[in-house]
Amino acid sequence: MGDNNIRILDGSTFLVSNRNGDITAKPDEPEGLFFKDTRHLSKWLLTVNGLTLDVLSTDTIEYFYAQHFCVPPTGTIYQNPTLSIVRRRCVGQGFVEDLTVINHSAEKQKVKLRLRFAADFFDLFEVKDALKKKGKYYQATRHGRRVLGYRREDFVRETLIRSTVAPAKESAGEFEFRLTLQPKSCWSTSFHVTPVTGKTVHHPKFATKEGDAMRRNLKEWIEAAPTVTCHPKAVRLYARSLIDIAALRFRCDTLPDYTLPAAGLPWFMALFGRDSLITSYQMLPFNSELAATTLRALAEFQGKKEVDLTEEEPGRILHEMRLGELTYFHERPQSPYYGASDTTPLFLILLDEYERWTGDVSLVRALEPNARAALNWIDHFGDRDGDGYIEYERKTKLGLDNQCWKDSWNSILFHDGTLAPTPRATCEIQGYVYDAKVRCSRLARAIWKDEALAVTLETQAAALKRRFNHDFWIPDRKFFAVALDRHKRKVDSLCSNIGQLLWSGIVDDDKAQAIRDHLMSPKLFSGWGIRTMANGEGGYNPIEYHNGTVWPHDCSIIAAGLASYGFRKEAATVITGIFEASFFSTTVCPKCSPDTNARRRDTLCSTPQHVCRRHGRQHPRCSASALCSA
Amino acid sequence: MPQAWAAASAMLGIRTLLGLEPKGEVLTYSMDPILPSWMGTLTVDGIPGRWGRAKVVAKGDDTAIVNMKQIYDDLLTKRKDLDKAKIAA
Repeated sequence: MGDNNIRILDGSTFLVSNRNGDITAKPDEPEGLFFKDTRHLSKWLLTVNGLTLDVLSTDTIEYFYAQHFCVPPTGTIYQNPTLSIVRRRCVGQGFVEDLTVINHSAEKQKVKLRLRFAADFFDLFEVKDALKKKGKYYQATRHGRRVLGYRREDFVRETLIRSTVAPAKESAGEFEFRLTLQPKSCWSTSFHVTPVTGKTVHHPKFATKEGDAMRRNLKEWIEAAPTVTCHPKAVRLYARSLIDIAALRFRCDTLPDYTLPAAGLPWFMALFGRDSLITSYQMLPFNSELAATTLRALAEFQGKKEVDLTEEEPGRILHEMRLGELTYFHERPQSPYYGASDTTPLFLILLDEYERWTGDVSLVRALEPNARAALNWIDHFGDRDGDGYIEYERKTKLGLDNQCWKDSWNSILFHDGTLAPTPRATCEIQGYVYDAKVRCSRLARAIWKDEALAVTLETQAAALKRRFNHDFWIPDRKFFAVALDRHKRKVDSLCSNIGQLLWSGIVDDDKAQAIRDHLMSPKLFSGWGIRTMANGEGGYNPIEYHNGTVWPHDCSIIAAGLASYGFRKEAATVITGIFEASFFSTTVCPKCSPDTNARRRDTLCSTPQHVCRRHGRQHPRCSASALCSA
Repeated sequence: MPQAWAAASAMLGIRTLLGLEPKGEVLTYSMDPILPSWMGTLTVDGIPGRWGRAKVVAKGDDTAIVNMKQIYDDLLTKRKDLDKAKIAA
């Protein structure tokens, strides 16, 4: 997808078009109108007197609204266009396009306008992997609307298209309008594009009152969030991030009144356990509704039985849930897919953190059975061989090789670049388990009133920390192995994972300094953030997904970890790096940034480290802290 | 292209810079926040939680905020230094 595309979205609906507003999707490109993981429009092409439009300017004013100012090409710079065409578009389920044609000249003009449209109903996975369709396409007219349809057994998807001004001529994939525009006059119509799933018609929100509600909702979202006053750059970053999160909110069918964050455009507009949990954790000081909804939604789909295809296991928290054709027919496992081993402990971490911020004990009580099931999964399913660590190995070839956040197939490598054989126990997941158990012992004691469980969890956590600091530590290089492999060998690449261990609190105090030194060394710290893998490792590639690029969310967690061990100056340096990187990006915080722009610079912050605090426990290095009440 | 956990990194970043931690019924924050030098004073007002809404002000180095002209002057100075260095070499 090129940078020339215009993207607008609302939850699991998104529209990607050219700058002139046309959609000319190739099978393997994520262009078009997508709704619930299916492409409902793959062609949407407007011509004026047979010519494709040139674009003068385009704006995405709100995340769900775009306008394209276009002119028909005159073919020469010596002749100015006398017509302009304005396309204004609001997306929400389907979309509404308001089209206006303006005659600027003093002459009467005859204009032939054609809109051609088509839908390939590709599952998002088919777009990603360029696969072939198995069902049948059909077309019809129903209640004055053109119907583009696709059927495979009982899986039916349709797109309804209508124009408020009746076309002069219409056929299966085309509207034609013949206009006579008086001098200095204009003409307009609106196109309504409505997706249908099975028998359910999803009216575009902006064709209904819901559209106004959406506008109001964004205003309320911004007004409800804390106000940040600071340097304009910092305020802009905050505002932009807040709006991006608003755009990525979506409603789960089973919890229609609440929103939770989807992972991101274009491939990940769905419920992802890991992304939703981490985003909700990051957002807690600013919004707690996302966390509550994420916890409820993930609890609802928590695994109940053992299924090989989806890797469901009792108590396991899902990885990903999709609604497209391939998952419907079990040709892909994401319905939902459970192949993540960090989501279950992260679920417990968020549950505790949510209560610490909100004091909402009722949710912690309501989710007690889910939390117990999650703890049970950690000990009896996550730990497959009883060695005290969570390890993973996919159950089918459709599953993910790596069931940690670095989920590309080749992310867990030895120092010499060779692949570690599965099952793999990555270090940060053991950290999450430690943290989850410490936190759940607090919840067990304070809220579930189960002292025995609290003591058991404390004991288990202490034992895990002791063993981990021995089993994963590489004494001669002074850092933790990124994983233990099938043969319990230490996978000895230097990776960002060691930074997340600080966030979990599993690192022995006498090892923290060495971890800090590695993180801040030029091998790992690029100036923009912490590389996923250190320069100098066999597998290092500064532009490879998990083997060198810098990921802001990883850095934000590592910075929180550094601060919790008292390394506040270093934490600020890392945060400053990701803030500054975002100033150079048009799309706010990019998902990950190649670290090819690696640069050296002096440490930015020189204030002495002083205060830190984690989980309400006073850290040995902490001195004072301030209290702040309402 | 927005990614939720990338966008929300700014929020966790602000939390860490300010040292925000709930403790019992109150929100605690760091007495000596560490802010990037360009940032100046950082105020977050209306932090929601069990305390209602809280306001945290982290006094930064406001003298560090420069305007465009200062940045340009700074660049020119650096450029001159660079030219001198070349001549010396």
